[in-house]
Amino acid sequence: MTIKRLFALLLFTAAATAQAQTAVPFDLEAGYRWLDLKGSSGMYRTQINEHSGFLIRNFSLTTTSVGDRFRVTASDFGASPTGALRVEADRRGLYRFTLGYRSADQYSIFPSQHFYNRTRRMLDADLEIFPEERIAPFIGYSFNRFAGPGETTYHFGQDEFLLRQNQKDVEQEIRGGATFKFNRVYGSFTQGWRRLNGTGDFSLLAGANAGNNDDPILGHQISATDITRHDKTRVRTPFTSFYITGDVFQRVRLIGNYVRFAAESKGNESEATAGSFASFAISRFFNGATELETSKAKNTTWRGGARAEVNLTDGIDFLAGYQREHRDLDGEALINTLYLQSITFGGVDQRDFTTVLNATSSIDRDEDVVSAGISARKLGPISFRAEIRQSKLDVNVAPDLEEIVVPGSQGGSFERRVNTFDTNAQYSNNGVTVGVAWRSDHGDAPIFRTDFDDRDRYRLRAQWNAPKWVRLGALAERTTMSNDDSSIDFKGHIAQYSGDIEVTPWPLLSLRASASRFEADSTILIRRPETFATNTSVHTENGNSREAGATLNLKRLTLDADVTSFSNAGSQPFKLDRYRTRATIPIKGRYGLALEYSKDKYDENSAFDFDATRWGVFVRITQ
Amino acid sequence: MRVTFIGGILLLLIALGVPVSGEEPAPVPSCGDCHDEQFKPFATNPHGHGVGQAPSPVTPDAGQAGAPVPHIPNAVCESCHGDGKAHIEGGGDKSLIFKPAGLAGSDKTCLTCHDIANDRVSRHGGAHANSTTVNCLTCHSIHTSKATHLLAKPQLALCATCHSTQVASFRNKPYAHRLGSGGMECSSCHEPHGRPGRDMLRKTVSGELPCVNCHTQKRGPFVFQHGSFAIGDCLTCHEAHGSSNRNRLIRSNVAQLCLECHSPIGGGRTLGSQPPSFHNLSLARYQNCTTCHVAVHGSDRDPQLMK
Repeated sequence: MTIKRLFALLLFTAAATAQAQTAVPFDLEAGYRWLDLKGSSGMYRTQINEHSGFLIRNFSLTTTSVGDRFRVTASDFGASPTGALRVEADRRGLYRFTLGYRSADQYSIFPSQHFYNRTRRMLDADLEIFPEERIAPFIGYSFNRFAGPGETTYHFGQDEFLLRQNQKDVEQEIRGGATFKFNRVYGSFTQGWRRLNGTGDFSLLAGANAGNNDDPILGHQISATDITRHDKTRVRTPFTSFYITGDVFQRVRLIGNYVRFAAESKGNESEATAGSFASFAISRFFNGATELETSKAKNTTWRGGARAEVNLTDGIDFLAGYQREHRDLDGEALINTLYLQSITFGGVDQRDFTTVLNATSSIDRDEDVVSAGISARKLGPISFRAEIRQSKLDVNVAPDLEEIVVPGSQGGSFERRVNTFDTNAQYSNNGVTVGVAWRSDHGDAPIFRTDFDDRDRYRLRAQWNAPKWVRLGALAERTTMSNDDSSIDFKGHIAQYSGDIEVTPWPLLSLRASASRFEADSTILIRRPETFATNTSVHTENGNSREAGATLNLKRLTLDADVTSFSNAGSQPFKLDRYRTRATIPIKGRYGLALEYSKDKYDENSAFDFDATRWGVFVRITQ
Repeated sequence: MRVTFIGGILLLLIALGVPVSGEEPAPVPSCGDCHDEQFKPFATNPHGHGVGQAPSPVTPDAGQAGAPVPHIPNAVCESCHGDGKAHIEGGGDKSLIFKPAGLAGSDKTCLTCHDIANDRVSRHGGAHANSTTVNCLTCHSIHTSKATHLLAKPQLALCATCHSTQVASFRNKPYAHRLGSGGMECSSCHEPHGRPGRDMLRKTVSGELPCVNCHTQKRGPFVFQHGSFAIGDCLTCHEAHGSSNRNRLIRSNVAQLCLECHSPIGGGRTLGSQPPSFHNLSLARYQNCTTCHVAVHGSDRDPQLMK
């Protein structure tokens, strides 16, 4: 069935339903959208990706004819990169059912030389039986499929070649368990099984034979006549989770939780190449290779903890908890590579040459978090919360794992402790709300170079909406972090500020405006690989955002219009202007029309600039 | 095909809705006599269990033979508003009925049933713990909400009331998750009733960060796992909200992001600080590490993460 036929049929059915004087609340909005695109199609699709075509903009139906309550909502199916469908049904004492379906077209032209054009489809269904009984069993199923074509770079034989790639990953999960409730004790137990099957097919892109590097290697021109690769991955993951809550005394509540999963992956790959190549690893030129690889990896993770909430007096609670997480990851790969017709760089000893790499890797990671705090919710117009936390991380890494670029012994044992003080307070009275928050983290030895010694985050929020026709808001957030170690010298700050106003001078008209500022500034020492000189990595963001909008609600017309502008003068300068307008006009009875106009103009002064305009006309049927 | 499939489901659902169309309007309950605006949508409200069903069989207690049983028993309204007898007898005197509002209203009504605490959620110690500033009725509209979970507004607009900079970054920056579209909302990743710390992230059923709920292929395990993911998490390199940087990285320059960890200064006391080979960063082909190190999240096939 084409989208046009579907559209016509939906209209017919909706009209029939509407004519029946039904009491079923029902909305349908469907129509056509046109796209006029100037500039970079790749960048437009990476950022927005709305295209021309029929579109079911919105659908909702709520009825009591199935169970006690049956509700379905759907949005943005058709000429849209994303769509969603949700179904909820329940009957008191018997069942509760939810089903969610989502689709997302994902397109990217980054990093350079790569692109993908894939679609993700996700389905989640959950059914709870006898939801109000002491023991209520439930089952669930999830499906996630990510598939589609792409292009990628493959580094081989001292050059890089562009490959066509076709990827398909399908993950399915089934789960079951029960919630329980006995007097003052309640909780939930879940057992699930997840499986992922992934395949990838790769082949040399037409015209990519010469590779990226034009220069010869040791006087030898590198080129490929054929590259094909096929890989397959299977992951099986059983998991268990459990929590129990007990109101053991009048004022004491204890909560315990445990979750564990053990993911095991198995992979195999075959590869065949032909051409003229070089390898520094075996110090030879060669005319092709075949490679077979098998791998296994396992990740076992568990987390367990307990916490207490002690109600000291009405509205004041003492909170304390302890959590431990353990993760271990082991992997091994056997990679057998047969280099065909190889000769030494000196031009002697012609023969096929085999290498076998038997690599193993492992990580052990333990994290302990202990916390204590107080929450005061009812101090008149004031509420207050303060908490201290300490997290301790122990990591053991086997050397192979970190040999990403240069082989060598780069594993080891690392331990890091972070102490946190986290507090906030709010005042709310007569339509005025003021909130302040401060979080301070202090860490000792870093595991990664970008780990901080000190980090502070401040937040101030204020709002005023005393008269019904005006609301004013302001928010300021600032985070600073640093590591003073002379070999790292890391300093950074991130700040976000915004102010907004909403005015409703008369009930039919609402006006809004906001301004936001985004700042990021970070410096850290790095080593330039080509000279080994010490350099400073500098990243800045200096973004300003302005928004203005209006909503007009007349009897014969509803109008919504927004204009936004964002400009960044930091490390990645650009300007992005957006315009959105939507008008809805009732035609007759339950029928109406919606008109949309959208424009996005992206300018970074490069070939990636685009100017995209969309118009949409939609028929609305409302019951 | 997917549009056809979805369309088919929608048609089926429309068809399911049709049979009720011929039913006679239900007799209104006594609360509904005056509170029509609240009464009408309540039939499809999650709190409206048993409301709006076909009339029950006549019982001797129902009074006059054949009289229909009210569709909304007063007890449904009274479960939150308290005994309404005096209010009814007082001709609708507003002072004679409890109207839940603010902190006290949430405590006395909502939390009577919804005072749940579990591994993720806490009503008393959560970041949105029930208080004067933020309470159940700040975000939820009990009678007339059209949004899921009885939210007072669509989720994005609701969260924007307080978290304006976060929402502005989604709306205005070029690289962002499409919030408010395709089923993606703030609560896809955040647990609004969650406890403070780690930004109230809504972890998966097996306890991982919410990113892998969708990006399943990044979950692994891999033989050669990138350390930043095995020991840190996705947010070591990515911004989850709107970003000015491609691929929502925390740096605009990929080589810069990589070298900040992979730089051998100070004796390599940190993980991954080995010499980053001899690549000449002045050449364009080396300025983007992931052009060649394509399997940057982890690989089963290559310790150098090139495939």
